Amino acid sequence: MGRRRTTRSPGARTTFWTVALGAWAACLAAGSLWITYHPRTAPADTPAVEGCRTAADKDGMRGFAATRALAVNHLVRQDDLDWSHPAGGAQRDDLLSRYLTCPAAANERVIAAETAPRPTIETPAGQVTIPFSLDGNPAAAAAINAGSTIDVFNGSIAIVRAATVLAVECRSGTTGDCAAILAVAPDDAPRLAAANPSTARVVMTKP
Amino acid sequence: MLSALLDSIKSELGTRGFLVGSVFPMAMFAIVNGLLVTRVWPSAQAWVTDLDSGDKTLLAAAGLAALLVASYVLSALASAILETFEGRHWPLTWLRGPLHRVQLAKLRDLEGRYNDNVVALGELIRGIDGSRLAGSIEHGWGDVLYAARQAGSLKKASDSRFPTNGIPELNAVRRRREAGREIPKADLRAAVYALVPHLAVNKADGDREAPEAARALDAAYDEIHEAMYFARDRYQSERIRLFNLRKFHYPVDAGAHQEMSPIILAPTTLGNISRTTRSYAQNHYGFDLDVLWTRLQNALRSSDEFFRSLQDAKVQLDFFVACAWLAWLSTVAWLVLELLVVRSVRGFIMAGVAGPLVAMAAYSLACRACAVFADVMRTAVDLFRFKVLSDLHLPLPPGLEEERVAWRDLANVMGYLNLRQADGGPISVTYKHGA
Repeated sequence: MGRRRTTRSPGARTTFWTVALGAWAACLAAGSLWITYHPRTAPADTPAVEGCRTAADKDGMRGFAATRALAVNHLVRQDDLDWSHPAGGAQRDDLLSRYLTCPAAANERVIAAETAPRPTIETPAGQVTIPFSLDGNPAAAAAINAGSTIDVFNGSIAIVRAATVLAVECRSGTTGDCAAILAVAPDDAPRLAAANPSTARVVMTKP
Repeated sequence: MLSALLDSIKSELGTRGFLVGSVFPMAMFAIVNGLLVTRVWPSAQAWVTDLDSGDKTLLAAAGLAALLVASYVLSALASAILETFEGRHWPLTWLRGPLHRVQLAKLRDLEGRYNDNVVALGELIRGIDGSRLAGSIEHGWGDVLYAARQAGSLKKASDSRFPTNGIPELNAVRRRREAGREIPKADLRAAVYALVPHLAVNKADGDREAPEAARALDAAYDEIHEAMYFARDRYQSERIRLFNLRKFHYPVDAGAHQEMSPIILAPTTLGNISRTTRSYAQNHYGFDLDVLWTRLQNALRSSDEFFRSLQDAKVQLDFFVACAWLAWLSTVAWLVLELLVVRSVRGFIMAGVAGPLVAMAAYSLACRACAVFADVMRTAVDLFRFKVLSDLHLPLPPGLEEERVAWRDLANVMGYLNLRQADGGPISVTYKHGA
């Protein structure tokens, strides 16, 4: 029996892979939506103490010395405190990735009681607060913190200048999925809101 | 069954088999997952950094012990994991139907390509050599070109007119030939019959002193011949490649045959490659590997070198299978962690995209390793099956037919405890004891 040319259609293979990839993509999309609507809840807060203690008050307490001056709402990162000399058996986890509720001078002890899992934002008079994603600027996300001042550019055009960083909020760890909470003039807010964070350039003018 | 039995090859390797097949993949995935943990939870890294040297030593010892225990568990599960990828256990059994359809479609596609190639090769050879079918004589292209050239040789070389940049039909053939692609019969035929009128009225002359047009025509004449033979060899090479691909990746043909066979298509690529060993031994010699493997393994030990190469192929297969399994396990674990604990959309998507890619790459490499292992196994059957008969004090069969009957009877007696032939008569086994 002689052979003849055959006609072939993709059929089962294409259907299978289309269905499999489609189902997988749908699962990923559903999971992403679920995460978006169920963000991570903050760990139980340490009861905050009314007011802020003086450096002398904190001498006998568990904590770590600040390596430099830290503002209120500062997100505590690796290089902010001297971890090599824990006072009173302090643990790094008590402070890392938390926000200061009191300012600390350089070498002043920072204690867990003066930190919170979330920043407390107070909008300065005559300004508005607006979050600005730092996903497109990982270097900036690692460098800026509460009290910093930044300029935001779109190419060579300034979108906003001298915006004060009230806090930096990160979804995971201390530099991943971060957004800066900025205090800006009401006129600057719409431009900043319309800017594309992944292409905008962030320049820190004051650390 | 055979996959589990084959695991005994590795057990004789001792430490090396355990290291390469289980410890290396486990260590690799432990390191990668550990790095991911420190990235997602920086406090974990900080915790390790803060430990004093005594605690660090203790932690390292505990980690090493955990790694060895996990590797041992992985080693014990190796045959079950391999069987899972062969489509014998859940979760792949849940998808058996769709997966089987995919394998059948792939096999049919392969057979279709092979048939097309054979048809194309036959047509091409008929075109080159010509054919003398009843009632019609088709001259071969070589003859047609030669006849035209003979006619043109009566002309003067100085009168030759031929475009030095070639003719379009020949240029199209040249482009395919230079690229190493197949040249269909239609293209070659068009080029031949486009060249014939030029050859018939112009003299082709390859002499250095000849006019440029005559030399170009001579070069075109040589070129079309070379392209014809290249096209034939290209189809022949592709035919052999497709044949080997079909025989060494699928244990059966797409269509079932009248003869009864215990082997059917598996739902996965790995399963099918793995079954080619059984099908080869069964179809060629009637050798039932399920029953006779342990006897064959004993015979294989007579050649240390060959047995080592078989072990190496098995360890390589186990390594990639373990990698594929650990990649799937890590992917599922990270998806659950990202969904329930970390809750980062970016991390969730990255785990969902990168994890399956790594797992599929490892699975693909496992399929390649399995193809190598199956090839070594087929060679083992070819080379050592008579040693099995000698070891069992049985006479060597004089021919293939007798051999097939001998193996069938032996499998019935030893594997299925069946002492009767299909027609009801007793199975007769005559021993041959050495001096």
